[in-house]
Amino acid sequence: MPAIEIANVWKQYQIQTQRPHTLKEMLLQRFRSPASRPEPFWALQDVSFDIEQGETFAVIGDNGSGKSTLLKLITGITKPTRGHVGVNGRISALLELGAGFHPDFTGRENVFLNGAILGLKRREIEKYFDSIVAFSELEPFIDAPVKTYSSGMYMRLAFSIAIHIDPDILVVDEILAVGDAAFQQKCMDQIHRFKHQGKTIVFVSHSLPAVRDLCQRAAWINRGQLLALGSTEAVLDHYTQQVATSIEKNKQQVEALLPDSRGAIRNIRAFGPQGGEQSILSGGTGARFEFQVESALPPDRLDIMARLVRTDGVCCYDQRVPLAEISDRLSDGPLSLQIPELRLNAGTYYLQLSLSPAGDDAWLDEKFFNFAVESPHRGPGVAPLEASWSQRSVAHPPLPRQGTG
Amino acid sequence: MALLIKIKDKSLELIRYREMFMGLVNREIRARYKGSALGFLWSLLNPLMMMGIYSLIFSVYMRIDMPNYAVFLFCGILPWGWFSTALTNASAAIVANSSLIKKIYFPLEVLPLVNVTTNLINFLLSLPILLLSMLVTQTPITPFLLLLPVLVVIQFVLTLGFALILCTLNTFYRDVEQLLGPLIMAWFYMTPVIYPAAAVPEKLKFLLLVNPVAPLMLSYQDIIYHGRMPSLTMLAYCLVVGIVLFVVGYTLFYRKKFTFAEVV
Repeated sequence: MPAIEIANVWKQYQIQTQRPHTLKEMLLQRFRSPASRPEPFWALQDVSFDIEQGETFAVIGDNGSGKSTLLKLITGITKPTRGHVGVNGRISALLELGAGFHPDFTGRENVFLNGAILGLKRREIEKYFDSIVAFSELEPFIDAPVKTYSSGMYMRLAFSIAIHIDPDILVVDEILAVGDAAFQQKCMDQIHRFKHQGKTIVFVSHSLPAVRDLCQRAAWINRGQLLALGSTEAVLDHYTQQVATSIEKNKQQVEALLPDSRGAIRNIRAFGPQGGEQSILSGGTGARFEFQVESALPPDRLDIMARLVRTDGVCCYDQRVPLAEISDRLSDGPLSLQIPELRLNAGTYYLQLSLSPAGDDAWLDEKFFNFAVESPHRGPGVAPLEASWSQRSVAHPPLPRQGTG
Repeated sequence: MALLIKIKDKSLELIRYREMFMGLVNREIRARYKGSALGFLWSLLNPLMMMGIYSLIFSVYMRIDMPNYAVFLFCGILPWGWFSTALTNASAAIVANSSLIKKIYFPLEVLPLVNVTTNLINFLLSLPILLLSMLVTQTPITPFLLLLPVLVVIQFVLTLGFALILCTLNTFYRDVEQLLGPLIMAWFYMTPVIYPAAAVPEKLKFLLLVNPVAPLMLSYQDIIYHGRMPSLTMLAYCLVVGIVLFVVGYTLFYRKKFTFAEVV
């Protein structure tokens, strides 16, 4: 029996702004011509898949693609317009942490209240209380009202409660977008622990490395339709390729917008080791980014900064140089950032280029260029370093014999 | 048969979420007095001050010639306070908790139920003041007072029925919340709370029967102020109206509750 069955699910919404909110609007709408009635919006269209018991399953897609709607159907917050959603097992959804917290109540009181809202019994909360507080690292503050907490403390307490629910099915929505890096890592570790305990996990994230790291299978949803379903590897490859092509298409349009008269970066392109233009680069081989800089200012009064950032926000490389080191006259031709060996793990990245007045933090223009890296090195690490393992053999001196007297 | 199974499933679900229900009731009651120096004492002081004001107006300024008017007023105005505050709170229950209902699954019936229960508890907490006023004015305490739990149960069903209907309507049409204030005020003055039923003109007596809260208030006055048996026919009428409203309200609520998360 699968943990979650989604069979031919359709979900329709009325566009919010056109829905009658008041009696007057409702009455007025009665007399409108049928043509001006709001268009129904299909948030999900004929989506079907099963998630097996003990499986870790990712749902990926752009913003507004229908991922959140799907999670709301799985958790039972809304019902499908057509089709069937079946869930076998106790479900815990980390959709929003700390919903139902009362600011005037202490951390302790909120643990009990929030636990009850999430479906825990009082006995269960009492049993887990010490462990919840310990995980949140908030022992000294647990009897202070949560309105005195920083947002980080608030999230830590909320997450600690949520992971103690001991669900059969855990639904996680973009939880890694909150908290500092150390806390995010702690969350991720806990989710991995759930995975090893054989729990079913449904994971929604924009962090493709995290998805790749955690999930066995994935579904890609775009505009309410299931575009790909299968192993995480296959679905992500499909997804990154599509993202790369759509970025190519949009690039010219975007660059035509808002040219800055004082300076502009234009026409960023990426080239592989053979010199061909491409937006999926191979890890470990050469890569070159080419771009044009235009400015009324001479190069000796400008700086250029480049950053390579993984799409989950990890900055992998950054350098700022005076533009005069690269060019004498900008109109002579495009500039290049050459990387002899692109030592990055597989994933999606962007190149951030900023043009600034020399020694000044304000930028005249800033452009982003998305690209994907294909590499056998997959995982949460940033770069495959040339590391090697070994053992240092040491000649052991004979152990001193233990005397009996 | 299928319907019976459904009702059973739903009740079981509500039982599973009783901890949440109690947690929320607890939150509502304690949040009310959190941070105030007198805290819980306010639940006694508030009705006491209200009684003082009404007694002053109706015994000194606009004379209503009744012995122990304060006790008479009290035995109507306390349950009316429960009724009206519960309706005002419950009508906004879904809208006010939108962040909760959009993110977490739970049986949404819990929310209006919490409002009605919280205000019931506040009503019960103000009863000592009523008792005190009876002792001070030497109003005789009769065995009919033992009927109080019966009236409370009937009022609970009736209030919950209204609450479910208003809560559902207000989620889709926010006008309900605005309309409710003046409506409840009119309702208050149409119900014999500050005046006795005898003061209603003969021609308008039928209004006392149309309004299901009126017989209830008269019964409170019977068992507390007059110390006599309330009309069982009227109480039965209240109960029937209450059950009908509850069934209608719950059906309406249940049929619409899965769209709540989409419209708030």
